[in-house]
Amino acid sequence: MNQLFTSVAYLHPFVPILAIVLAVLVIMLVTSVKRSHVLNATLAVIGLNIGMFSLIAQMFGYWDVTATATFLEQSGHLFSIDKYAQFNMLVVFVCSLACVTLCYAYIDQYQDHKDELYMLILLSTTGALLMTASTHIASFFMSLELMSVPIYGMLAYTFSRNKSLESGLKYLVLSAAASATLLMGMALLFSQVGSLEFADIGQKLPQLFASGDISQAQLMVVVGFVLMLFATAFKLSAAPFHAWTPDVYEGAPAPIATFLGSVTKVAMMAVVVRFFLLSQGMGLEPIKTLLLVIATLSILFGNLLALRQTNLKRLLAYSSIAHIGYALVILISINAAAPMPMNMYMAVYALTTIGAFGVITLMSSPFHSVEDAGNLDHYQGLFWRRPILTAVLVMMMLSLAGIPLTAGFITKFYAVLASVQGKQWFLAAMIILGSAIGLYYYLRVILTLFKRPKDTIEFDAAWHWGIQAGGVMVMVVTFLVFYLGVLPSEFIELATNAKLLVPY
Amino acid sequence: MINLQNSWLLSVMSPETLAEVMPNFLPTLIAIPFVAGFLCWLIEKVDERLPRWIAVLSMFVTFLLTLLLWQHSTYVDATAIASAATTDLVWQTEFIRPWIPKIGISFHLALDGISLLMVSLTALLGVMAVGCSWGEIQRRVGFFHLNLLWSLGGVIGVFLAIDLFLFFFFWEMMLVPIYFLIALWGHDSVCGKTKEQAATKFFIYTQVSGLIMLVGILILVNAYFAQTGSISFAYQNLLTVDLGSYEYAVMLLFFIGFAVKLPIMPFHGWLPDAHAQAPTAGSVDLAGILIKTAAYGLIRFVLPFFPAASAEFAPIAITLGSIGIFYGAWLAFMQTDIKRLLAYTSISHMGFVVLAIYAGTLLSLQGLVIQMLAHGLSSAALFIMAGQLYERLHTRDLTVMGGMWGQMRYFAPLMMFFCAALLGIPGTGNFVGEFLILLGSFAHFPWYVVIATASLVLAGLYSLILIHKALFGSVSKDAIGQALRNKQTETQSAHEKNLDRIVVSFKDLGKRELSLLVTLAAGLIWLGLYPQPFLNATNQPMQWIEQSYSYQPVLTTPDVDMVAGMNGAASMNDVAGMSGINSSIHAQLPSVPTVVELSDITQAPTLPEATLTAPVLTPAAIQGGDE
Repeated sequence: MNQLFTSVAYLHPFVPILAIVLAVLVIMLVTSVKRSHVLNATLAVIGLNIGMFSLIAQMFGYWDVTATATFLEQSGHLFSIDKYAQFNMLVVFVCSLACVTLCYAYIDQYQDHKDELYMLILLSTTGALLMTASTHIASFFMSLELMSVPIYGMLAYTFSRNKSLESGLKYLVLSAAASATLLMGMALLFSQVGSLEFADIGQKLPQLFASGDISQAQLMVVVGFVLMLFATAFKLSAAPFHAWTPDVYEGAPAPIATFLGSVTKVAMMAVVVRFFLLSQGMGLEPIKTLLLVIATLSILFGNLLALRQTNLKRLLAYSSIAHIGYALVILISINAAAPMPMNMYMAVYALTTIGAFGVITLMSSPFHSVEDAGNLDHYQGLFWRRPILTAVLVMMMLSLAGIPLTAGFITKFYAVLASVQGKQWFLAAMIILGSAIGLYYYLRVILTLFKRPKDTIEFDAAWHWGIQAGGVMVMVVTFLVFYLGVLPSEFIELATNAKLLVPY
Repeated sequence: MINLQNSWLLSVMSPETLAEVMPNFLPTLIAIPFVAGFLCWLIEKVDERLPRWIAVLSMFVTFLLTLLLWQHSTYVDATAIASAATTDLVWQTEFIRPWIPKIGISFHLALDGISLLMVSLTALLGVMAVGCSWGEIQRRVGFFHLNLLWSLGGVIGVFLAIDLFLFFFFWEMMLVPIYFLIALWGHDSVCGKTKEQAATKFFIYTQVSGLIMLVGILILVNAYFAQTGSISFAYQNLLTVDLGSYEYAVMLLFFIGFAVKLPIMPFHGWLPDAHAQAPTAGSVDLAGILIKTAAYGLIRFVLPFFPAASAEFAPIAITLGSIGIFYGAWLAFMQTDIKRLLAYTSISHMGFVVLAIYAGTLLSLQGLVIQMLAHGLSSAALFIMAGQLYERLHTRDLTVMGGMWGQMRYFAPLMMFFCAALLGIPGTGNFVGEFLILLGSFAHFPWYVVIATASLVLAGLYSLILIHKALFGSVSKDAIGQALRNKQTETQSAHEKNLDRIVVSFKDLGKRELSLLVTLAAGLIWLGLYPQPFLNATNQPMQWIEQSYSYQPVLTTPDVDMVAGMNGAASMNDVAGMSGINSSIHAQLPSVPTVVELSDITQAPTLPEATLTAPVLTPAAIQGGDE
């Protein structure tokens, strides 16, 4: 009995994740008894909140789980809930909560079943949470699939719209191909290293590469890493594996695009950082060079292709490609001891994405089943009707462009700082070039908002959007983006403390 | 009322308490425009006119605060000290609060004579900018003043920030409101460029240059970290960094950052469009204050941080500056759009500024301050006048103007006065500034000075063509209206499409307009007749900058020289900023063999010290004579 209790105690660090899994089960049971949109949405929010607050309690020492956590470190393990994982989990929680909030108003008048969407979102969130803590290739892959598979359903959820179906299918096919590539890479790596744990691989690699001349084994390890890199680049939508992004973003229901742009990116980047830094894959020259190429291409393609977009969702998709490029610059420049710039970058990027897509969702919510308010001219002259909603979008655009008084400025500052500290002059130049091109289209969006309004208004936010949950959430996000841009001190502290656990 | 409050403030406070609250003035100077700007926006819904009053009052209070600071500063009379005894880095007032302690960033503001004068100028021109848009801006008044005041607040921040991160923060931040000013309230140009394009061009140019500078700042900080083990963005800490072989590269990064904003010749692409298409207040803001931030940045950061590299770079910078003087003057002469003409004169004048900065003698640096103040006042006045013309004639096209002399009692002579000031007539501040710059630079760069002096002829040319085309001739207002209507087919911009309904008038200046211009004129005359108080204020900080710029390379010369050998010796010639002097010596002694040059250099520490201390004495002599 005693032993049972102690082993249950070992699960304490996983309570935030378990809370969500429980919430999924409860929602499933409730749905089978009675379909009620309000009830299920509330249950999802409650589940997420329990998870988030238990996580916060653990992070800030109100609930001490260090004893069990250390035990888990010592035993062979699949997951490691270290500070780094906790930080990223918090970001995932916040993003997921925001998405659920946005979903509620968006899907409320949908003519078909609404409840399953929350189950899918929570399932996918579970996968994302597990990903941030994965320290083992098996858990990496399983949680990645757990995150991705529900997304197929979420993307195609509003199946009465052709584009939604198309985006779901597109994502399904391409994502499956990427997963297969990932598996192949993992297999190759395992065949030579003989271990699946990130840190183990990291310890064995130096021996393998000790000899100067190129052996078959070395080649296979490199090919394995390269395949894994390509697969992760696909999931992150980095160029040249980006082609799916704009189509999927455009077709996806706006709140789901929010999810895709924030939760999946944060979780994926978290595991990429952990994998490539712990397994010392970053130490391999070919991988580093390839990453450099991918980062450069992402910055250039993302920004250049965004220039002529007339659809806000597509524009944001291309901007996300560019931002992943900047994030990869950070990845190249940092080491395992200090993943702090990356923590900050992805957290702020996720916040900004929520804000930007949040506005799109609010604009489209009353018109859900027809089409989303995607086109830029749907926003023409928005300032004169909805000054506060415009302020939100302007703030997000400025943050994406990295202008002072927004959180984006601080993270861009850190991106440049990281590249300078890593002596990556070329990449620093790329950030500057990318920002220059980027400004052009971010400013174009802002200008559209201030133009003379059109005579016929196709899309508009609900009359009382400001007091709806989604509206309040978007304003809170805006305030956060502003606050973190002016007084980032505590946030930096938090991100710095979120250290990666390096077992060797 | 404000005056009363201030005198009350003074009478209640003893000097001790005033000294205590003085540091709090610095954040107040920045906060007033920001808070007032926000108020303007909020109050717009209540009343359309209130934002203007709030804006003008807030800038006026800011201006009074700077005067108060000036009154309570103890500037030693520049004529009294000629010794180099007080050439340390001294701030008049400082304000420090931790901001992001993790990476050594603090909210660190500091004030010395230079920044005080610049902030005063900003506040004064702020009043002018609000004043001149009183009639011009009729749409979205509150939001307009929000942008105007925030940009002014950002500029004041730039002048006061001494932590490099904070400086960069303000540097980038002040651009956003100006972008909105141009993009939302600007004018579409006659040649088909929209105001949005001009605004975007301006924003991209300046943001990119800012990021380039950011890389420079971060390398500097990194070097400091490598040398001391702690991260800091503080000015006094970064001064101690020895960058070694990186110095020249980092200096270039900073230089590009400032050169775009100044602008120096190849980086000026944004300026004519932005100036010409901004609303009047925006142009005043841009020409009067914004480009001064770049000059300020060069003397505050580039010279003290990178003395040796700056000295090495000086000939190139001054060449670019000289090209800019001619290029700007010539293009100004060619313009038919009155605001574009004025914009190009700014490029020309900024050439003088570059010359003054890189000559780096006390005399030229003092001249620089006067030149910046005078150019700020005169170009602001001319842009205001251009705005007033536009309100009356609905065109900025010089080819259709004319005949205003005699028709407008106050406007014409005032315009003539400001044009005269622009070309540097004695009695105006511009003359004093240019004269001091040319005099102070002559010792180091005689040929450049000769060339720059020759350009003053061109200044006469563009000033006179402006007067001639705008004021003289016998064109009636009906003729102007007719000409505009005929031109309508050529001008495609949306703003001028309904010209048929527009009435051209020669209405003379109102009281508001007149008082703005008279204030500016008075300032210019004061600068021209009695510049001593301004020179006193900046004397000490300028001495420090001059010391840190010109002495260090000379002292380090022998060490490097020994290693560098013959080729190095030739380049070290430039490092000492002595190429001009040496070449003139060699001109007199053509038969001297090259070997002597080397020995000449090894004696350098004694030789330049003698020549360089000489200018320290001269301002006293000159200004003494001025009184």
